[in-house]
Amino acid sequence: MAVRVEAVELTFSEKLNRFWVGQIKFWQRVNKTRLAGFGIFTTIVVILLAITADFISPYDPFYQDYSVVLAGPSSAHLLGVDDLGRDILSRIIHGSRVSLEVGIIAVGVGAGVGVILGLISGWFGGALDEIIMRAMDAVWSFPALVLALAITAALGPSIGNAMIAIGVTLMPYFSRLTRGSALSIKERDFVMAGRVIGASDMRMILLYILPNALAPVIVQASLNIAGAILTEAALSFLGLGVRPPTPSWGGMLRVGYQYMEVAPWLAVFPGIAIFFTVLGFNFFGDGLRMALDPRLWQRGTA
Amino acid sequence: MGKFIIRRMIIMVPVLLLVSMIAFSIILLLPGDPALAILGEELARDKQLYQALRDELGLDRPIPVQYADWLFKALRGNLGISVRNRQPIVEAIAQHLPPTLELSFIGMIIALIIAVPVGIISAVRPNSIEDMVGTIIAMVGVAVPHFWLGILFIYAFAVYWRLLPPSGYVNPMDDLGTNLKLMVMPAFTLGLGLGAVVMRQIRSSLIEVMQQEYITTARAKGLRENVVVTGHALKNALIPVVTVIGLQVGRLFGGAVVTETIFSIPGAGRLAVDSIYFRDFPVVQAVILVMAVAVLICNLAADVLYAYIDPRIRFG
Repeated sequence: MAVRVEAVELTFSEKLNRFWVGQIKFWQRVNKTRLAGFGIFTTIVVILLAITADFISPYDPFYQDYSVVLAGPSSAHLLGVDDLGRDILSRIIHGSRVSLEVGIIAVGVGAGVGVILGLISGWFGGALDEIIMRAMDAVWSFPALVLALAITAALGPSIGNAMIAIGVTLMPYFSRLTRGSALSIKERDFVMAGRVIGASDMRMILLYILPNALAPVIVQASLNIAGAILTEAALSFLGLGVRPPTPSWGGMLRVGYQYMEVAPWLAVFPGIAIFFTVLGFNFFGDGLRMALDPRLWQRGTA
Repeated sequence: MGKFIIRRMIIMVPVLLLVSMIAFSIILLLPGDPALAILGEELARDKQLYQALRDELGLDRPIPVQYADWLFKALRGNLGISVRNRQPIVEAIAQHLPPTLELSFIGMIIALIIAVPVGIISAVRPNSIEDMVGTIIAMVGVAVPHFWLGILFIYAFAVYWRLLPPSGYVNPMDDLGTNLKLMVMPAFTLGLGLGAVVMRQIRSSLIEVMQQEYITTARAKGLRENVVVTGHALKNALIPVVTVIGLQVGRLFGGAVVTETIFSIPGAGRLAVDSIYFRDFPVVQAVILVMAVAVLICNLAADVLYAYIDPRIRFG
């Protein structure tokens, strides 16, 4: 094997340059995969909506104008007005915050705990591995929505508890994935080298295994955000997620369902918002997966 | 084969035990005194009622003892008594299970009717227009919130065109026609998302099989392409699909919760949601336990079926 010395001699700016070329190539590959461009675009739009909600929404999402209760879409209220006279467009724009917050934090909780458990499982093996993985199998056996419902109901319905509950249901994905990576990385030569120089378990896990196990975790996380947003919407739809009057897409659908016969727009537009957001994160995650795994990308199977 | 099933069942035992622990611990998550949390401030003032519930749940004993007691009763088919209406929980679940099973079954059939043809067409011509359309259908099926789909169905078919009854449930033994009419929309609501997942699985496994050498052989023999696909490739491509379907049972139950709520079907999912609204946690514990056990059994069945169709697994 040829020893590569050039990497040591690169100046900082050259390194930075290489980094960016690598990044751009990577994103070009993400983009080249079908539909990923749409995913990136939608994801960015939703994130921008959430950040700028206060500036771009035409009305205050809590302002009630009783003169236009249940009015249909018009030039004043583009997507119509809800049962309490609140502008639906403004509430959808503000609702993106809840969806993103819950999606990202729930996945953060699930990925954080799941990755740690997976690393411990894969690195130490033995009885500890057995116990952790069987526990993950057990969590996995519960229908995710039902488990999330039960946990949220017991802890008390709130956005924070919904995040924890959804996070718990996501743990098995990350622990299994990370354990698998850890097991294969463990066999590589540089890990042996680390052991030889006497690195502690903690150091081995954090500096040798974790960085090499992260790529699939990132892909899984982007796909799971989509699922978490759907679960949150379902929880709020059942009245166990975000408490009213905080605008959330699931909560708006709950109200829309009740007024379906007289004012269908109440139920239609929040659903479209959920749909495109979830679709965006799915495409984005698929694109990431294909970019990170060239075999998939070339064969076009996924 | 018998050995394989036994080995597989032994592996299941610790998972079942852990499942029961998780289901039981739901009541431990209640903030403060579970009896107070279940009854609420109002009712808990009735000291007699309050003490009766505490005794029933065995709250004065240590938690491990409570769990062991609950587990052994459950093993003997006694899941406790509903706080809300004093009905034995086993009886309540037995009443609510048939509609859920019917809904899941019809939903699964609809999923397969959609998934199999679209998946095959996509796989036979990967990266073509047809495949693009198939992929988009699948992505849409995965991303659509099914409760929203259900609401749209009700609006379109029951409110606007008045073709189907909006919601409700009739026992198929009493009136099969009405039962099926009522099941159309919920089953489609549940089946579309599942169909999307299964379709993607069929597509990717069929593409993989089509690249194997025996397919080249079949083509070299001069067989027509559709004979190669349906006669030779599909058989092997469907093997992993069995597992995916087995794994989707949890998803079906989760979907049933929302679907049953929208369409007012008195199923197990509806029982779970109603019990949550009434803070009837003994029922919640029991329903999620039964669902998880059902999921495990279906996964076991899928594994056994898989081993039966593909001998490599059995001897591997």
